[in-house]
Amino acid sequence: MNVRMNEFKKVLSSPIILGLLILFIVFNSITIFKSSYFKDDLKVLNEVVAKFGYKIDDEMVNRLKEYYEEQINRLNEITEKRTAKRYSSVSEFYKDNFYNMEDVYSEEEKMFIRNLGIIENYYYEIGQVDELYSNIDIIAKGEYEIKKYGLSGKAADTVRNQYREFNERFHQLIRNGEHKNLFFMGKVYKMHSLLFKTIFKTIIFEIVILSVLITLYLINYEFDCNTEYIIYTTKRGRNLIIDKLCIAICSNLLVATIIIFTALSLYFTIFNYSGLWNVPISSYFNAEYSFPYMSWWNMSFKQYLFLSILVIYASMMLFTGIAFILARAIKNNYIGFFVFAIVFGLFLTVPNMIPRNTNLIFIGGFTPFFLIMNPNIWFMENEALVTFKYYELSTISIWTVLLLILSVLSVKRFKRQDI
Amino acid sequence: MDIICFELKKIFNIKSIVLLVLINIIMYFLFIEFEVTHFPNGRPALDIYNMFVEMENTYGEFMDEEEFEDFKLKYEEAVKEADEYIQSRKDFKMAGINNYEDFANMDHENEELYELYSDVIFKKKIDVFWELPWREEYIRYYENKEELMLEPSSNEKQELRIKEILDKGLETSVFNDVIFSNYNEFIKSAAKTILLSVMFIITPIYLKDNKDKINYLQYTSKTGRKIFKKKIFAGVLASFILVTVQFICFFIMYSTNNTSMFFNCNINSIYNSIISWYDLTFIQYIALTVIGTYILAFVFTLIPMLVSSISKNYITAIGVQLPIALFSFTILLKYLIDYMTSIFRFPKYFTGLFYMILIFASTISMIIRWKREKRADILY
Repeated sequence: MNVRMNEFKKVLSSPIILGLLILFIVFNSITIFKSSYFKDDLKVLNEVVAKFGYKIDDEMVNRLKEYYEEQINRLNEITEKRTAKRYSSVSEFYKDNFYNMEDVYSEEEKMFIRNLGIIENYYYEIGQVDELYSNIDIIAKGEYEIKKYGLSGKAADTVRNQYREFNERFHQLIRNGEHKNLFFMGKVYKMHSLLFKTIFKTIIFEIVILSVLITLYLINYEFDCNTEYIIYTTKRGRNLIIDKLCIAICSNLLVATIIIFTALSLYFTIFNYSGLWNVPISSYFNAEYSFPYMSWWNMSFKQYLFLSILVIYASMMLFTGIAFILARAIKNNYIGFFVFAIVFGLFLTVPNMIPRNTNLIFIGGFTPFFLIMNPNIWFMENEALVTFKYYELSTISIWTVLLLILSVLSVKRFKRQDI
Repeated sequence: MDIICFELKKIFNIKSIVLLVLINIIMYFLFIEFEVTHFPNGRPALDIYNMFVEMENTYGEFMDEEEFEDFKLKYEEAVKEADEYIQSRKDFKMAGINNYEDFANMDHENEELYELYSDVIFKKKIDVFWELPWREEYIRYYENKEELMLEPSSNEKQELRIKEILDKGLETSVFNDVIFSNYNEFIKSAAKTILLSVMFIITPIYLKDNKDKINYLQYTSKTGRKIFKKKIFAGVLASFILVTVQFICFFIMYSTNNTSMFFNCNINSIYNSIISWYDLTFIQYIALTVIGTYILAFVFTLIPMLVSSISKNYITAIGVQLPIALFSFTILLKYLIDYMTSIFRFPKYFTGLFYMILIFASTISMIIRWKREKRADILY
């Protein structure tokens, strides 16, 4: 146990790893703060959800309508008092009063109008959901993706099959009414991209960088300090490498947890998600562009977040494994780090050169390197190359098995290695 | 001199070179290749490029009033060509579209008409229909050039500069944003690759010797601690060689973009997206960005040297330089290489000053390090 503690101390006492960790946390906080300017606008939805619930059904729509009309009447009371005009909606009001709002209305009234405008937006969008979803054609989307990536032959057939399968899921989604739920309006605030793309991608890259550095540092520490011969002659001897791997994994877990915890706790204190945790991630309101986000399974925001964090941990483990194998093969950490970067680059560039008419093209997608590039579309229908139902799960499990075998071989070789 | 030669050999050892080549190939395919193989990138970029090549051929570097009349004539001819095409098709006649004017004012909401439109534009991709809207647009630009040029200015100095350009008539230069923005993307990625390569090759320069405890041997030799200075020289020389070789390779790639006819055209054109503080031609702008990259490469030779001489292991060296590299590649390059000398980015002398500060700061810190090295204790 003592040896492991001492190994752990090596990580903790390394100023560079701690320094990078703090730098990354500061950077994440800045990223989150930078987009916090619209957090007050989001609160309007929390209030609406608290009053009417997030599920959109006839009863809820009617109650919302009543409420909305009541508020419009209040708006008209205000406007009549100030300008003797009546409006049927806030957008009409804005059209009329875009420039001279400043002096006519008090702060409180402006706030009221602004919030009512937001409610109006949601109210109007609710009315459009059914029509929008009746126009969505999953098979056509598949064809579009095939064209976009220039696929043909067998590769195109595979994508077509996937989209046919997803089409069933799409109908199930409609039957469940997963799309008819209130959520922060994606087209305006892009909360899904902010959390799962901007923040998660930064977090993942930070975790990958740190875990590779920690793993290289620990595994090659003895060679770095020229103490390997002392280690070899001890009772524990070359088994030390297994302790090192364990500690590397533990410290990476710790580092990942610290980064994820600090970033997410800051995020969720700034942005209030109360009442929205159980909204399905495939909600129409989550959509940011013309095509909505649609998950392969019926899952809530909470579940999606939890699974995404799990994927981050899993990819961290995979990268630790890759770094371990590299560290074992290359004793010079400097070369090792750059070889890792090169391997990363190769896994991103080489698949592009595979001919696009065979199923081989999909192999390039099933790597942890490709997996971490788009965290915002995990578990979802997404671009042609990775739109498989169990894409995340299979990538992680295939690579776990692969890396386990390689690690065992690598450790065995290490034990029999010549001095 | 011998020592410098040996140091160069040490820097360019076979292992480093293999990795360097791999890094460059990957960086090339990830960032640079697109700008080189996809130029002009789709349409209407291709049509605009062809149009400007033709303009350059017939009008030379600038388009004066007389040549502008000719440009308008060409527009008329193109309209005629489009008219003929439209009249040759029956389906257009059926839809009540008899000439290009009708075509341009077509109601895109109407499904039938939109079908015709997308048939010509997206399916058959008839050149003249891609070209015409831009010819129209550029005629409008030329006619309103003074207003358009002055419009974005936000302070007096910018306005003065724009007026100066207008006085000299530089805004009529035959040069387009399609070429310019492509070059900027290209040079930004090239600079990124170059700086990364320099960092990679320079970082082990002291660290390797210190780790192998060769520095104690070096201290006791006749050269003694002067080796530190010689290594600086060798490192700068090495990065100079490296940058030059890389530039040669990258510009050979870039030459396939075929933009050499525009080399003598002024970049302050109404058709371009930059207004520069200086009257630069395209080739001068290229030279300026190349010099800028050389200076940055010099700075990025000294920073890794400094880090290399004070860090005890490679992880420290990497960990310290990683944030520096990420910061420079994402933010610094955007301000120092991309759209260099643009009046909307910095005041006139700011860019030059910034480069000066970078050079001085890195040189001075290296001098301080050398002073310390002279008196450094060998016990630790």
